[in-house]
Amino acid sequence: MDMSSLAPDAAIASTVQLAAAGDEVAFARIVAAHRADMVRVAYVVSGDWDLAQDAAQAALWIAWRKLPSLRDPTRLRPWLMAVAVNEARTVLRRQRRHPVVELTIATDRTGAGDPGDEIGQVDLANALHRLDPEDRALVALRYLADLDSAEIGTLTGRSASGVRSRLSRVLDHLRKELGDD
Amino acid sequence: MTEQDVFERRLHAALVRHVANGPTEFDAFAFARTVAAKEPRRRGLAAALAWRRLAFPRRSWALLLLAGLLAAMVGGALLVGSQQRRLPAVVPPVAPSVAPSIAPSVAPAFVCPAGTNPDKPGPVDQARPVIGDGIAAMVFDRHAGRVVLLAQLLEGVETWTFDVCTNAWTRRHPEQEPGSPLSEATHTIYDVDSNATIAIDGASTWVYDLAADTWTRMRAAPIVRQWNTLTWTYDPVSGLVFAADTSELWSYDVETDTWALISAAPWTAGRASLAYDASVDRIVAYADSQDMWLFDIRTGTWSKSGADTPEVVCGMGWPNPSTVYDEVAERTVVSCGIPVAYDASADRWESMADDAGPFGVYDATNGRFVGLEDEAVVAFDQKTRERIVLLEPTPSVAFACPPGSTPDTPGPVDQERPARNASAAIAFDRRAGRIVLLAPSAGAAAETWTFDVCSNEYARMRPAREPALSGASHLVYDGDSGVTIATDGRTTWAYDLRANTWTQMSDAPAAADPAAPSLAFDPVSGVVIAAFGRELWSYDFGNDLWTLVSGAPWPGSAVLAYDASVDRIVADAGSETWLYDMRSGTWSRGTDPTSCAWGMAMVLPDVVAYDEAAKRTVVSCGTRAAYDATADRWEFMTDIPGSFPSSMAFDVANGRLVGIGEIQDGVFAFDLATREQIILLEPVRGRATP
Repeated sequence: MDMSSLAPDAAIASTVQLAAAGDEVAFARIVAAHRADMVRVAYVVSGDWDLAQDAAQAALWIAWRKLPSLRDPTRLRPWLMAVAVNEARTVLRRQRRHPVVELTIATDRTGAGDPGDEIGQVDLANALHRLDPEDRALVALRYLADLDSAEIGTLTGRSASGVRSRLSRVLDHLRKELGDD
Repeated sequence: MTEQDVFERRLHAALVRHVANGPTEFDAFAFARTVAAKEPRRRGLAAALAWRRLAFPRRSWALLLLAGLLAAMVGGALLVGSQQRRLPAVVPPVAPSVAPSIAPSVAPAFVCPAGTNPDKPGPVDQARPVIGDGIAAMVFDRHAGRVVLLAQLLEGVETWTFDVCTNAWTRRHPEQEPGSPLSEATHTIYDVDSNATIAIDGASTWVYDLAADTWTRMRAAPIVRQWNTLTWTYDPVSGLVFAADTSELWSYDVETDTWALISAAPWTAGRASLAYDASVDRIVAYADSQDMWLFDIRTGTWSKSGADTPEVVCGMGWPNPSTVYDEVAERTVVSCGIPVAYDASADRWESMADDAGPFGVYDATNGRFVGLEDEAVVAFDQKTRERIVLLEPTPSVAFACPPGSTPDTPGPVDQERPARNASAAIAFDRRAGRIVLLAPSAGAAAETWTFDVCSNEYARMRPAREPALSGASHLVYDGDSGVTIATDGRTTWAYDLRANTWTQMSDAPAAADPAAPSLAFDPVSGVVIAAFGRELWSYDFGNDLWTLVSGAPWPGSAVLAYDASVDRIVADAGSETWLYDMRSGTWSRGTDPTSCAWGMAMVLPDVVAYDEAAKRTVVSCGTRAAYDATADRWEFMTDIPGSFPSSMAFDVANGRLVGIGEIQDGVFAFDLATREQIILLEPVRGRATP
């Protein structure tokens, strides 16, 4: 899966400017380029594909409204991912007030390497499920959206060191959960 | 490569596999078209920077910066070596010496006149708005020292003011009022420099001039999305109202009736609640139940609090948590259930006591919060954590007969009346001034009647549904809730006379002796007390909850009345008299060896009532007996001919007991002070014996 940006910075900036000005085709390009990844990061947080799609959709509505306020268009992708995980936390919170989220376990092993090196999908799903949603959001942004601590800090209102220390704790926890210690 | 690097790489690979099977089909162009059509882009990014134009001219900025620099230098010099530790603010507050040069500061609040005592509760019998489940929005008018309340009441939209110096409500009568019906989205905000209360519901904007008692319709707010996402505050420096929804912050200038887009909101989803925090001269926005944002109106910038923000989640059906700034404690209180306080100057949250509040509006005159609790008005001082009741809830309102009525004149003898008085139960509805009577009928359900003690006339109520109770049903009027409670020891029903509806409530606890339950109402705790055989239970209508209070000390069964003269439940158990103290949960036994020997009460045990005028519990047990609880003495009135009522109740309007006769189907009043028996409704000849 390619989680990297799909266009050079200048093209991204141009697309963002057009979309910010109300160009729906430009916005459609942004949606086409980023929605799938937004759903994936939202899925790590929510553990449910339906909720993840809802979260991504809500995040894209927000993106449409707030594109004009995006200061650095080249930071579009990190920003979208952060909005998506935040939306995922919100929909998860709403969902928790009613039925409990049922975690779906992915069992597909497509693209698997050496089974001995793999983290089992069931174990991973269970370990994620036991994490706090905020910690799942950090994991999604760091290890799926490939944002560094400084970027995550900027987007979530934390310091980079604060993000690093929290990630470190999460990793320690996951390591124990996944039997890697 | 460290061990952690290896694990992170494996985690990354596992995550990629974890999300590999997600849904992929999506029509991005259709989605973009939908979004663009539903939310067309506003043209002109300059609108987003409107704060530059509406706040201060460019030259003022230069002066402001210069003054700020000077103030910082002076302040820094003064603070060097000081022991005072001031934690860094989220954003540096504007130097106090600078702020007044920008715009007027918050106007001084109204000062209570000499001789008034704001802590003294207002007259309890005053007219007041009874909101119940209605919609209400209130705000504090700091010029007038009054809370302004706009509410949807039963009779329509009403405007009221509450004087925080005298603790008195006043109904206003403006020619027109917003709403009808009032929208749930309605918020009110007080514009200090314009001395006006503004009511906004997203679809319309109204301004209230308290001095002129007029509401004026203004231009509608441009932000109309979900009603429960709108939030408002007032900035005393710019003199503007600020309003936000899920994505934008707007300003409203009531003087020019103009709205301006100020900024995109930084919160990414959900809702926020705004308050102006004077300690840092920022609008604080508690957003998404987990983030605190601060907006610097002077520079148009948002910053996010670095503090661990507590999650305040409202229950279903509630909009945002409320945010109110306490000018004395310099805290913004966020509440929805358990409140928390935000100290913006230290960027720190403080927990508060669970029972703190209410936090309805901030009363700047007395430096405390004021809120409504049902019909009561309560103040809360955050600094002292003290709750003060400014206005007690309405006591059970005693009904008075209208002028010209003749309560001593018997009612028309040929009027329709209950066919069966045997085992009928009565209670006096203090608000309606009528006796409610539940009489057995030929069918399964009982018949509901009322008896007007001012005209001495029966009325068959014929509600849509009537309770099917066993023969031994009993009634009591719940003065707190304004309903009459009926139970036969198995089922529980509540009758609302105003709505003429019976509602079946939770089942009564299975009584060992369901044939002989007895009911009384304790006005202090606001619950019905029931004797089911040898158990004492309470019934809380508001919560529809039966609770076992105590075992009973009497050997058989008893009849109950609440005796206000000693604040006890008096239980006449035939050969024994017992008193129960609800406050301490203790029983004491009356020492007078004579008590109302079981006569008729053996068969009809509900024949007891407390005479509020004579301060006696009166029991009919073949003859009449009155128990003086303060003297612990029974008095038998054998000289008075008995009417052998099947049920008695105290008629508050005329200050006497009223009995419904079993042997005769008439209605009688009995004045204990004069020992006079008055026929309110003559029995019908030929029907005297059941």
